[in-house]
Amino acid sequence: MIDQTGSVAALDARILEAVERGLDAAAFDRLARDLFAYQVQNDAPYGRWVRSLGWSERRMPAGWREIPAIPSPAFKEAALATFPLERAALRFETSGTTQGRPGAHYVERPALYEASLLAGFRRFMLPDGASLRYLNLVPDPAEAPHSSLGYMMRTVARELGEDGGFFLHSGALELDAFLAAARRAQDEGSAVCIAGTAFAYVHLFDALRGAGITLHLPEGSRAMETGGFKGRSREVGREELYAEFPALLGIPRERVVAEYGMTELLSQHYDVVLTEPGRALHEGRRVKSSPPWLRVLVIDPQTGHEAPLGTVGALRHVDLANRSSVAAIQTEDLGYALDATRFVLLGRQPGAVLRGCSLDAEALAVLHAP
Amino acid sequence: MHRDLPVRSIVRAIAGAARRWEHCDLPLRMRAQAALERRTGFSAPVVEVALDRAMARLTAAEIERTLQGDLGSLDVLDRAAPGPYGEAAYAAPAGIVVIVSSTTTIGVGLWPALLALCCKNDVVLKEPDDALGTGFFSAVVEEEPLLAGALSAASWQGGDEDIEEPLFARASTVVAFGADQTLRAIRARLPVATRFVGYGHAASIGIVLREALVDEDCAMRAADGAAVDLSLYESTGCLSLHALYVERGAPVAPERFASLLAEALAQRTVEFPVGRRDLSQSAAIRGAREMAAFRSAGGRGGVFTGADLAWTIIFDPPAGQPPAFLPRTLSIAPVKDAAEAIEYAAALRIPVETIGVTPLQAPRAAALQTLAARVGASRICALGAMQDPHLASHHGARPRVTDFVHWIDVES
Repeated sequence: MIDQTGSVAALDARILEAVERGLDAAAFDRLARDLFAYQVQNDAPYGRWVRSLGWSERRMPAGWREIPAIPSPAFKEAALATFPLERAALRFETSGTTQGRPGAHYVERPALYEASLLAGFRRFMLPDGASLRYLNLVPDPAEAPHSSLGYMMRTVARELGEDGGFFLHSGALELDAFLAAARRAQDEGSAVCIAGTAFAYVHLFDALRGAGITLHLPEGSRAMETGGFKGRSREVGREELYAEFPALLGIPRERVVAEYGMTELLSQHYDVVLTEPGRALHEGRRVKSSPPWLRVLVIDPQTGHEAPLGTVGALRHVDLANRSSVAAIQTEDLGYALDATRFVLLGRQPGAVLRGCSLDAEALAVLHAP
Repeated sequence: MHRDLPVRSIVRAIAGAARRWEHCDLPLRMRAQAALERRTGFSAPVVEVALDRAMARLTAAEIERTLQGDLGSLDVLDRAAPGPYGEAAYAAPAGIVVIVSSTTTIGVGLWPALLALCCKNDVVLKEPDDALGTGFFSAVVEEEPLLAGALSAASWQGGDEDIEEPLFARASTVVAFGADQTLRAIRARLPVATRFVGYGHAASIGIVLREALVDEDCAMRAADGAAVDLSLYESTGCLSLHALYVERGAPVAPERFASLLAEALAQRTVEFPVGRRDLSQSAAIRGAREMAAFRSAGGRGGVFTGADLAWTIIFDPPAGQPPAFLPRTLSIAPVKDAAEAIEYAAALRIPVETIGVTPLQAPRAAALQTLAARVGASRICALGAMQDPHLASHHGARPRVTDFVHWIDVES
């Protein structure tokens, strides 16, 4: 149990140590349970939810797998924070909904977030320890201060390399500025990391093809692709998208890493394509892994219990860096686990076929699009 | 040559085929039943109800009533006769009518195809991969061999230009069911003079008036109607119940009504077993339930659930939250009155097809007629009958038949 005098600092210190030095399964379990007890006490909406499920300080989960998860849309419904909101150092907004009301993830101390995102990025994107120039096709934090992705890439560029600029403004790609930066890196022989959403890459590649331009970025360059899953079309296009990187940017396909993160999480999963190239694919699909302080559980939607290894279910994340909100978050993203640390993300609707003349959620989203 | 047949002979052939198709052991129907179960994933009893209902409406009287309602008389299809305006007119066939029924719920393209046949058109039905149209058309031709060649049904990948270009070029009328983008794509490929009738995706809502909530028995009957409209066809139809509004201020409160509906659903789930679902649907249903439970733990709304994700009722969802559009998942919003229900539905900006009301006989239900257009609805019916429209209903808020004829006025 965490007491209220100086305990938060102690808890943060333990999490920071886990982020910096890693932790084994037993330590993860202990820290996750302590974090749970702290969040039940200090995060009122989460506490009410947990108690409604029959858990309490007196009936504690036996291990991290039992920690009750909140559904990710709960961030749109309630302020999930373990501290008074006026003390929030950061506020990140989740993507908009059909109701037009985004959710918010409040962060009490940036240090924990930054330590987590940097350690994860270093582990999966920079296993060679490279210092790169970052060309960002994600929202510019100067323009979109509530984008966690923009914040992440600004932090990465500042701490791990050189900020080569943000080239997405008001949702539009600034091709000329990007090309100038990329050509400069080419001329100087400086390896770059391009970080972008799948949609930004689609626009970039269309523009490059349209103008008949191909880049040959220096050896050691790589790309991070991110952006969340929006449904079938997104998943179908992904491998086709990756095939464009070598031809248009000169970045080999095996140096394109998909990051899987959410505004609701302060840690991220990544493809293991750079860290374990021999085990990067499972049955043709990219394998993902997580840093030691972030774990994934695959839940059988039918039963609500953990699915066996290899069985497709909905992904639940337990992120110890989410100290100031909720550690356990249930998504509707589907995937399957390969072992304790590796999994495959399938997205929202693998193989699902739309049928019926009723509207569905996707059609509704189109209908409500601005 | 089917164009020489009197319309009543065509009607008789269709009705005759439908009577044979009412028998579950007819081999043609058995084949269609199996294919429909495979394609839709609906349980066998649900497919059976769909086929029974589709056939039950295909009586000679109902078909003739529909033709007469739109055209003024049946005779105009055989020769110049008094038409809808009383003047002599001849409703000649439009020519070739193509029905693109897409992968929609069961048999949605069948009715327009048969009505187009009654108007002596050549009819081509693009049907889902279940051969329902093929099977039923062969039964019609068995009843009247002169109809051979007038009706054809086939399944192909939508957008196949080799098939569709020549077909669309020759068509006089194209009827299509599908998502807005599908309809836009089809319409863009038609010659200017070709008539296009598009039925986009839509949703349907229910309203429980205070008059249905005077006591528990009365409320239970209303709940049972809602349970039928929710359970059949796994919420995939545009006539399925997607959102329910319950008036406050009656002896049976909206939340109590929700629990009665839960009881009714438990019963109806036995009669209409749950169909096949994919994992993403199950994950989304579980997500919707947990989200509702989360809200409820915070003192807002509630959730009622059946075992094994069978059905889910989300009570008092957040204002402005659209329906879940998930199998057997329904949100119930308490409202001051029916007008407020319509306002809520209008605020969701979804195209509404049908409004199910109980009790339909209540004088206040009549007021909905003027409100229905506010949400684009084309039908007001009793809760429990939402997915069982009349053949003559104005699906998509338009007449069923007039796009299948070419009027020739014959002045005396």
